[in-house]
Amino acid sequence: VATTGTGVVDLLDRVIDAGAAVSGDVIISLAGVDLIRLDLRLLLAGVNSIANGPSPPRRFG
Amino acid sequence: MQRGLYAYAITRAGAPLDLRGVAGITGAQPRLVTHRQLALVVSDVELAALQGLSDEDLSETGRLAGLARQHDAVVRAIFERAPVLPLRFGTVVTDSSSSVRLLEERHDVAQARLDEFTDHREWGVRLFDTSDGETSSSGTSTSTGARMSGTAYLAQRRSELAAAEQRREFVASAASAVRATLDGHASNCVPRTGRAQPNLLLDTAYLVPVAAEPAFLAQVDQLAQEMAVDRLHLKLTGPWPPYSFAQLDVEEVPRD
Repeated sequence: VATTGTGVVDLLDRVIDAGAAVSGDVIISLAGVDLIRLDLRLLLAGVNSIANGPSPPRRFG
Repeated sequence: MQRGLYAYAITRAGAPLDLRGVAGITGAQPRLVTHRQLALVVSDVELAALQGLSDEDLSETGRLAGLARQHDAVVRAIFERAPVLPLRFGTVVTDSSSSVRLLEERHDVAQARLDEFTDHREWGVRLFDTSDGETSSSGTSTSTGARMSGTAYLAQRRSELAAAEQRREFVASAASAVRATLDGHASNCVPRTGRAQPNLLLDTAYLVPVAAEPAFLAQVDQLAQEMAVDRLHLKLTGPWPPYSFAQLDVEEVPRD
């Protein structure tokens, strides 16, 4: 079994979709949205379309 | 221009950690903010660099992919030198004193995680059904159905459905077999829930002790060969820093 290089989907899957989420008052927000939350939502909407082509919107949660 | 500190990961303060030559987000030089036994790896960032990331950036060469690679490069640089607890992409704190507060508030749980991660690496295992639905087709036989007698049509549908059911049971048992075989080689494992991909039967992250890696990888190799005969594709990714095992807050950030 050969491991593939880190394609963008696998990378985003780990870097943005995983990793410790820190909440609380130490985090900077943009327009009232914590950065980590903002980008999570982006990823969930975006990576899915890279991996599978156009697809219906997913439910988060 | 609003600035902050981009936070990549938590590591131990004691370990000598030379990050010279490692480029972080937007090329900035990562440095350590230390507090008690812990260090937060940060670099200066202008918030504008993280603003307005949009769908058009989601390609190999897009802005988001570039930033994610820069984040990953720093986490991996730490990972090669010391135990690392990666933070989620896009974590930005105000300044050094908020970095210290972050470390203080999560000191004990971060310490416990770093202990857990010492001499471990993460591997990803995914199992796909590559039979392409040929045994599980449904509703495709209308043209032949029209020429067939009703009884023959029903008999054909019954056997199609039975074959599909059999395949479902088979792939479920194959997935269980993979789990049962690999779990024993890992210190921890978590099912990954991020991706909804067609024909994905199993998506698991394994936290494997470095000493157990040869056995784990040999086992994956053997399973992959066995599974291929039955048109199942076992895909391995890694080694990764322990992204999938990095959790700090008792209550994880809810997704809504």
